[in-house]
Amino acid sequence: MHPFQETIHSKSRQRKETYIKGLFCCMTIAIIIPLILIIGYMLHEASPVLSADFLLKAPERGMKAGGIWPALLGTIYLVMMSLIVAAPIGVMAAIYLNEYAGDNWLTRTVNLAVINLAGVPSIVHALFGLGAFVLFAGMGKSILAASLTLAVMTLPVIITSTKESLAAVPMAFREACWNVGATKWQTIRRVVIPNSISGMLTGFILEVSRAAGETAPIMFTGAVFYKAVEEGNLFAYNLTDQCMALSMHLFTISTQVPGVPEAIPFATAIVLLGTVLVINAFSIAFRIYLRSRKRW
Amino acid sequence: MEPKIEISSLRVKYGSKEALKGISFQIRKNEILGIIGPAQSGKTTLLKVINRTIEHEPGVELNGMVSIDGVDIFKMRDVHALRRRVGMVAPLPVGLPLSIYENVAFAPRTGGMNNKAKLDIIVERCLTQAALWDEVKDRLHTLGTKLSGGQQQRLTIARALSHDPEILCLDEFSIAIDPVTTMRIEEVLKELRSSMTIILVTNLVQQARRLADRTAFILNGELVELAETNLVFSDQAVDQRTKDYVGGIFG
Amino acid sequence: MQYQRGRWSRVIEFLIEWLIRISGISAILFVFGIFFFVFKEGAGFLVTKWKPIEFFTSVEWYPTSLSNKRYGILAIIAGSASVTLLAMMIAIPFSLGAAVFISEFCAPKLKEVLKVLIEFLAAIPSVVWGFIGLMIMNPLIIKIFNAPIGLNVLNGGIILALMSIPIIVSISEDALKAVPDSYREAAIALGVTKWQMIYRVLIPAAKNGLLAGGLLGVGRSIGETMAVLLATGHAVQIPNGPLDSVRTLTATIAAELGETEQGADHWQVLFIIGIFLFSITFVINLIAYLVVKGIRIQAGDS
Repeated sequence: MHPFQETIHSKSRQRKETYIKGLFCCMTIAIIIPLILIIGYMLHEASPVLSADFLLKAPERGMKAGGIWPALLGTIYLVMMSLIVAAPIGVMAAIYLNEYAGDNWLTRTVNLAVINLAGVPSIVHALFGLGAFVLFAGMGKSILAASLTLAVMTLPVIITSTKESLAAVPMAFREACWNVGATKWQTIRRVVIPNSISGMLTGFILEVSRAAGETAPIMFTGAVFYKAVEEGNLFAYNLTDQCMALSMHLFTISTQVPGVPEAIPFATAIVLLGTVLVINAFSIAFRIYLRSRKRW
Repeated sequence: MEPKIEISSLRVKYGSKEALKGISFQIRKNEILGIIGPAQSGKTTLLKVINRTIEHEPGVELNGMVSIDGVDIFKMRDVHALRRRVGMVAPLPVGLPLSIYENVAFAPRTGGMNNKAKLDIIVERCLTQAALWDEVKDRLHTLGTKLSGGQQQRLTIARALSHDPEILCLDEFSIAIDPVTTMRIEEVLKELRSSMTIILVTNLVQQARRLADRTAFILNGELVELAETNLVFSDQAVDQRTKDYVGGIFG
Repeated sequence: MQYQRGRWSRVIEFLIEWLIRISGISAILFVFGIFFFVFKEGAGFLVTKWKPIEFFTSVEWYPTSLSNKRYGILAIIAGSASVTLLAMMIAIPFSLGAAVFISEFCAPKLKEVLKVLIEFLAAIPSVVWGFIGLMIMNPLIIKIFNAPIGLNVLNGGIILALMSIPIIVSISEDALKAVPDSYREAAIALGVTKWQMIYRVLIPAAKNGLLAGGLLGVGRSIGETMAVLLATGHAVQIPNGPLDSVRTLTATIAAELGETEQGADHWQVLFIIGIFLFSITFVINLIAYLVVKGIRIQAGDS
């Protein structure tokens, strides 16, 4: 018999291999297909109510009709405020970790702290926000307190993606700058940061997407069940006000209000989900665009 | 005559490995000093000590003294001012991800000069000295990283010249460039000697022979021999190891 | 050439570098801060009235009783544990399968698409997951299993599994990718099939990373709030089976905090539950971090 001739054993092994590959493929698809079905069903249930009016009008008749404008506006406020606070701190922390930190216990502790911060349950962030911002700092329940709570929660997202983009800048560039007498900060400001902006922006977009979707951290620090707000006015909220928020609103009308026509919660869910997925899609497209525009 | 650079018992350790084992010598003003020796002998380490970029390496131990014009460099408070007095050209070409103009203007700008007219003059002068001006003068705004390897190396040289150094260190500058460009730069170095002191680390023994006034042979962190170039490359070399290396028996 | 950098620009640089250093350690400050402020709110009760044995071993959770307040969280712990256990039983095999598929069997183009889809899955807000549990899984479970109620361990477990899969897949895929190609090539050269290579060589070599992925999935599940609040029902009881309703630690805090008065016993106890949660996830994250560091040292780039 020819040494490389196929035997019955090798044929059955190959068949087994194909089955296994098929099994793993199915497992992967099994994760994704239900999701697509669910989203489709939600869209279907939401369609009677989805319209531009839904986004721009306030809830009416005790939330049993009308739109979600105050919640949409509130989410926009919360997300922007949290980004304004988290972005500078996160970027500077990442610069510290990648450019200044030595290989010592302090650096390892900081890295551990970032990972831990990312793993804190959202309700514990809510308790922290309540204890620290609402009570101790005296902000009361407000957009300010809720945004700060969200900022602390999303800080690791910005730190991690900024750190990655800084690390992608080759060391040779920094050495070339130091060789001509530039200081560390000059090098960072003139060469490293301009070439990491893209990664930072990706981190910001991710932060926005996460902050928009969170409920627990804002439930006790500034988001409320209902607030009357002028329709169409982009400046309707003050930082010291409490606000409605998309995520909170979805929770509220799903559980706290009896007799709501089902289309409304489904539509709210679709708006929230759609917003988050669109933001993420944008970040992915941005990343792909950047990869094609390499500067070195 | 006072030496430009004086090195006394310089010892450099990376962890347990001793890169330089207590070398001492002097570099004269306006000479081209060639430094030859096989890989991993400590030649690059020596250059990094002179502009104190050795301090960026983790876990480095330094002993001994290095002085420029009689002043101990490790006692100088402004290390960035020191680095502007020393031009450094690394083996691998590095074009910064800035425009060609900004690549050369980088050092003057970070040194505090922002006058456009003066920067224009510096950029043209340095690119000309680096034998690059003619090729890039019409596209100074394009990215430095998009140039060829040989062009990027000449750009690096232009950058090194842009802050008017008194001392120019070249670390195997011709590794990544073609022989014709190498020749052009060697001509430039000969001209520059009158205005600066040049330290030329090279593994191309013949290059040292062509350019250097004196040549030092460094092996395994030790200074084996330092003498007039023609002596080092002849039968009158003092150390047998020098003759062996120069003769190609090892390297 | 020595132009003088303005003294002003040097001062600014000094200040900026200090700002950077402070931001750098901010993460540590925040982690401490979280522990401190949560502890502070519960400290009063903790120090004076807390009975640890009763707290952890009693199933009687009656914080609002007028005559006899009891704070036993054993049933609530069972709630968290049961949902997490079920979620991991579902998530880990599927995640591993998907990670192996993406890492070893997949064409590069398809790989990009799948990774993007998984990123989308990860981005779905927890309240939307809870909504799905409430409005879609709920009636589905009632119909399929003929159950009296669809908000239970099963509902929560499936939802949590879907929520944890992205992170487990992502870390597992990284762990598999980190195994040097030389391992794969050596195995194939010995004539084994791909599956045997995966089963006998790759997975054991990547086991640290896979373990870390599983741990982080557990951490995510235990810490999840909104999804379980909406999907597991409201019964504070030790479940007898997956169709029973339960309450998790996280949902208890979220559901009851709004009803308490600031500073009251009930309020403080909820904060104490928060400390307990924080400690659990802290330990899980610490272990996962150490496990991952273990891999990096093995791979030689500590």
